[in-house]
Amino acid sequence: MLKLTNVSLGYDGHPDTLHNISIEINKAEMLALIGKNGAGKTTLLRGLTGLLPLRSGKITCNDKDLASLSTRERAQMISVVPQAISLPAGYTVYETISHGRTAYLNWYGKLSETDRKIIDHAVALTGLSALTEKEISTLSGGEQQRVILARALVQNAPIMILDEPTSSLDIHYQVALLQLERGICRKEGIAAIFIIHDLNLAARFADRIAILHNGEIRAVGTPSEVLREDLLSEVYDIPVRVLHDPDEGLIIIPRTGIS
Amino acid sequence: MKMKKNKDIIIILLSALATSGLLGMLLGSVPISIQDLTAIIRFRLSGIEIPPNMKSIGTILFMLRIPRTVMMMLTGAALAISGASYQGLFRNPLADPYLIGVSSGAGLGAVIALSFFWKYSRFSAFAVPLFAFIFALAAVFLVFNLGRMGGYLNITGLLLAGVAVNAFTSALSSVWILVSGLELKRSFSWMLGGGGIAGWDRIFVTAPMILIGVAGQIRYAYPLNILQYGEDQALQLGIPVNKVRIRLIIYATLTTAAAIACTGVIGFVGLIVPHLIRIAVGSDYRRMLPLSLLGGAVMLTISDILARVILAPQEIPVGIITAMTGAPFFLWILNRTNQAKV
Repeated sequence: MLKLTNVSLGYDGHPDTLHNISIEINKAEMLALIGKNGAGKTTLLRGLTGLLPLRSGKITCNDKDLASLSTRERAQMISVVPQAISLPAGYTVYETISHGRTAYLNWYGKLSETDRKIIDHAVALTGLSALTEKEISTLSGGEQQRVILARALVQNAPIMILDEPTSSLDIHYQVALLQLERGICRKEGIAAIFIIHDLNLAARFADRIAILHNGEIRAVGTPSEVLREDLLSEVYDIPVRVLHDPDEGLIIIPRTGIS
Repeated sequence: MKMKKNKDIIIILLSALATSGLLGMLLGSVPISIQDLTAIIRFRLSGIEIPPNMKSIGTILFMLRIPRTVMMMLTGAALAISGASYQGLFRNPLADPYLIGVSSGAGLGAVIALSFFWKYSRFSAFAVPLFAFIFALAAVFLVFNLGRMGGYLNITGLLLAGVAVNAFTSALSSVWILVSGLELKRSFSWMLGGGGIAGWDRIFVTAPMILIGVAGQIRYAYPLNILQYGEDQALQLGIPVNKVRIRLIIYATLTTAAAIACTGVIGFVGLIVPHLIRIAVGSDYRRMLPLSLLGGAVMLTISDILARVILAPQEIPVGIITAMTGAPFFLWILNRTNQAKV
């Protein structure tokens, strides 16, 4: 579905941040992107969403070259759930979610019956039905994150990118959000790439995990293939312990050396 | 509920506009009674010649009061809608055409044009708004680039850049007035904003510019909503950010420059009105822009009446009235913005 072939990315006046990245993501799949700070996760996200032009290589979505798409067409192809953000005040939850339809609307932003059906569907999926008329700034952080997820959903894009979606949430909402995301991916056939620092959440919710290290993909595979003590210790530069819990699966613990 | 509220606000603003427009025609150094006004309009409409004893009132009405009131409505509407657009573009509630230097830039352009074309009044009617537009555009791009600190436009950067551009262009205007031999009193009263030099010819030239600028801004009202998420998200939601920004800057600046060429440098209308409208109807620019248009027309028409009657028979430049109400308002918003950040 989404295919990166020999993609290199970098910032003006600097060498490549990411070099020769090739990876494919399939329909209804959840791919977690992990790695140390500065490994290039955000750069890859910027390349995928068109904020940073590719230095070389190609990104295709359903065999369409993303570089050939207009801003509007790209928004119909890839939706983004950004890192914890403050949403513009003065809008209701419904209005905020409806902004996800921008790439389909006319100059005045008039919503059609179809648009409204799609919004209602996303509202129901994210459990926001009771809040649609509330002013956005009155919502809790967890609720706002669900609103952003719903906004991305109504973009009706086959690919969804989530940039540390759980970073500002407590453990209850972290699990709830990723559970919700996984359900949506399966049901709607969306391929999701999510950047995440919490390796336990990655182990639990990702179908596959890609580790970025020194500007390259160091490893990619299922959680049990990738989340190995030797590999994680090397990449994160800290001893790591990986335990196998019969109920919870993999549990990753960084070892501080302090007893 | 929201629809009903919008309707109520439209009705209130339209009534206020009609009332202030009427008062604008009646009040002044020569008061005109409502009976005289209706009589003269009836004569005019039926094509009957106005009786000699009412001729002077007729002249005051058609050659002075009506064009002046129309001009104040146009200017107020133009400044308020542009203020709302600039606030959206800069994502900052303090972005007023006056505070960000656009007005003084336009003022400088207008002063230069006036010094060259003062005597050729037909030509100056075109040259003044054109020069005002070019200089205002230069000022807004300057503020936009100077105000970006570390790539982001924050309140401090914006205001500092605005203050610098404002001071520089105002100083240049003063120097230009002094060295070019422009009539001092007239020029300075124009720089402080006043309708004294109003006339139909000026309205006929600037009204189409304002109309084009207003239509352009309303065309981009929805993308302006999406720009509030910031550049990255707006792109990810499907808005071609640079194209929208540049066009909006051009339309808002055209509107401001035309207004300033018409009535002189008037501040704070573009700050106060959009702010009050936002409090009343929320942040959707599809509602905010047209309502700011109406609100601005009301505010400046009322300010102009005050400018005429407070020290009658002497007139105060209307820019002084808007500054006297606007400056405390500005401090209030600044305080509110800072409190919201803490």
